[in-house]
Amino acid sequence: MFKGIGASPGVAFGRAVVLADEKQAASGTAKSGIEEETARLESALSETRRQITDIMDRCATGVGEKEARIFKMQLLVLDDAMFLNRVKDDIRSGRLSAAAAVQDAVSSLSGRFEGLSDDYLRQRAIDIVDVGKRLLQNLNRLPSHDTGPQEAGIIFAPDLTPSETSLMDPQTVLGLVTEAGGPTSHTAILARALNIPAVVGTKGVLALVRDGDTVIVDGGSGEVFIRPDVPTVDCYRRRAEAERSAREKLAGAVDLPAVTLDGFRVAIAVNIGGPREIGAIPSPGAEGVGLFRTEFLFLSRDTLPSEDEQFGIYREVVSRAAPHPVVFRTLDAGADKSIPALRLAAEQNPFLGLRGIRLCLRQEQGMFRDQLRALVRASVFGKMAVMLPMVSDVAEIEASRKILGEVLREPGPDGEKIAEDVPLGIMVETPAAAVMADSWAAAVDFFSIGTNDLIQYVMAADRLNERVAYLFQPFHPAVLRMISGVVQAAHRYGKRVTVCGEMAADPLAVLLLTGMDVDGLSMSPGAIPLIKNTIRGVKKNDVTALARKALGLPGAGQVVEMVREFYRERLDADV
Amino acid sequence: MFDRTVHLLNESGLHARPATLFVETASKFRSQIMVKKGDQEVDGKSVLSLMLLELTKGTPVTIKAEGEDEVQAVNALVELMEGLFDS
Repeated sequence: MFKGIGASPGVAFGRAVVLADEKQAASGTAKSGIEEETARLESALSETRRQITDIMDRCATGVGEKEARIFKMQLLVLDDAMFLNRVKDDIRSGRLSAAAAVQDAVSSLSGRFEGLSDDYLRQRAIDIVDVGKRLLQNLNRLPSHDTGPQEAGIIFAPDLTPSETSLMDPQTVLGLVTEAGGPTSHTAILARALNIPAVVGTKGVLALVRDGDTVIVDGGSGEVFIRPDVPTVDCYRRRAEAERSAREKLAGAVDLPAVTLDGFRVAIAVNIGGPREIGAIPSPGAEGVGLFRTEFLFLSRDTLPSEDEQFGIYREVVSRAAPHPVVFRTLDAGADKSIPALRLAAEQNPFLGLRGIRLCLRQEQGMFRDQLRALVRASVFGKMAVMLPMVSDVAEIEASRKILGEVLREPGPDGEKIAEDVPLGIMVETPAAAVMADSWAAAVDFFSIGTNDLIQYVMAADRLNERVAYLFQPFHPAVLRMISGVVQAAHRYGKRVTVCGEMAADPLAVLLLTGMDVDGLSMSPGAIPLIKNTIRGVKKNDVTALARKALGLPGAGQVVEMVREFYRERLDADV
Repeated sequence: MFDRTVHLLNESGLHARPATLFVETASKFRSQIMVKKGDQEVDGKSVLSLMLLELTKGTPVTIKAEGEDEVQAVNALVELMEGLFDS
């Protein structure tokens, strides 16, 4: 058994198709003249451009617009002065043939990318190599093989370039195993987009696997079995079948309510954060918008949006979602999410600085009042609530409620009173808000837990800092205890608690959240079928016991292990 | 010569896709375009140079242009960079 990095989940079963790495033979010094080499380069360049454009078009229709953009960058690389000037200079000097010059430039450039500290940018080395390979093939007039295996199989390769991966047909490629690559490599990204199970980073596997071997690939755990024994085959065959039926069940779950087997119902809503997503409201399977991020209205512009401009957008959102409610979060900006019009000073510690409600209440330009007025005016077109971000003190709630009260009493543009009331709730993102939930419950209409920031503040670990990102642990009992405490406190006062961070879209976390009596979950639309299916497959009593046990465990590792086991058992599938 | 300085807003910095967008926009202008981070200055029409600059979130970046449409070029690129955000 080989252990690599699970890059795209699912179990694949079948025969190995081993793709050997074809080393391109590039002859050294120019055999033909400088002019001839230059001409060969030009014709190879235009042929390569044509091929990449062709792949890009096929990829855009077959895989997705987003993945096709990888090839847009490759096209730019072909015309990049940094790359081309070097190649042309080497040819002109007479030192190298066109092929050798290309190979030289590619290996030097990919080397520089591999030396970068940013993990994602480092992996772009493969794009350079991909373009280079193709260019060399055209220079050497080698036929380019853009087709995957004809018979269905599992591909084994040292590494796959984006063009190789994207041209794979999911009908014949059952799985992918590469020796190189990380979880953010192209192979991983494209395999996930194509729903092909994949394992990357399996060093040494090519020395062992032979063409035609029976293999099993588990893209979830990263395990690769070569010539497995009968019990392993039986075990995985059952799992593969279970997965297939789970997928079918999943697609049907989107319109069903999120109710446990014993009748406990969780409200499901969507997060909306950009103008393009507004058109998708109402989202299938969602009961309204659980988090509407208003930041996009304020970004990429030099002036603040006017009350009327905001009103227009809020009204559209509220009417689209009606009769379901929309929870609008007031501007959540700070030095880390800077608003040009506010000219915010850079801060040493933006995550602990002037952001969220602190910024809203500090503003001098009437920005917060304008936003609240626009919201109040839009409220009569449907159902809505206002939510304050980054609250850490009760004075922030009181000050906001006072302004909201004034706005509610003011006459609207036609001189009439606009609305009677708009519910006001807070995001629970700071440990202070989590701990004080019982004391503040009377002051708010609802709570919504923003897990991304809460985890970061509870664990005192910046999730964007690679070196401490391992401490960003959603399943840490400290985080779970905070959440559980908020739910219990709120429920004692009859207030609702929802969760709108990443945890709400994670099936394992959802088991615990449901067990802790969370009233609603808000997530990206794509996560809804899986989350509903998860909730529909368990009993409330069981997840309650599971959550209680989790709160008593010492660390995140033990919690994940226990919840994963529970999920596997009850839902008959792996996450 | 015209220049402006911006701070990158999006979490992931100037990765492959934003860099591609940047070069596509820059190439619409005739002016020579340079991108400066600290004391490193690179060709704003070269996607490789831009990615190798490793522009991360919050980095001050100066965009310079020299040529007949330098003001429009710089303004368009600044607008593009300020509009990059992770939704």
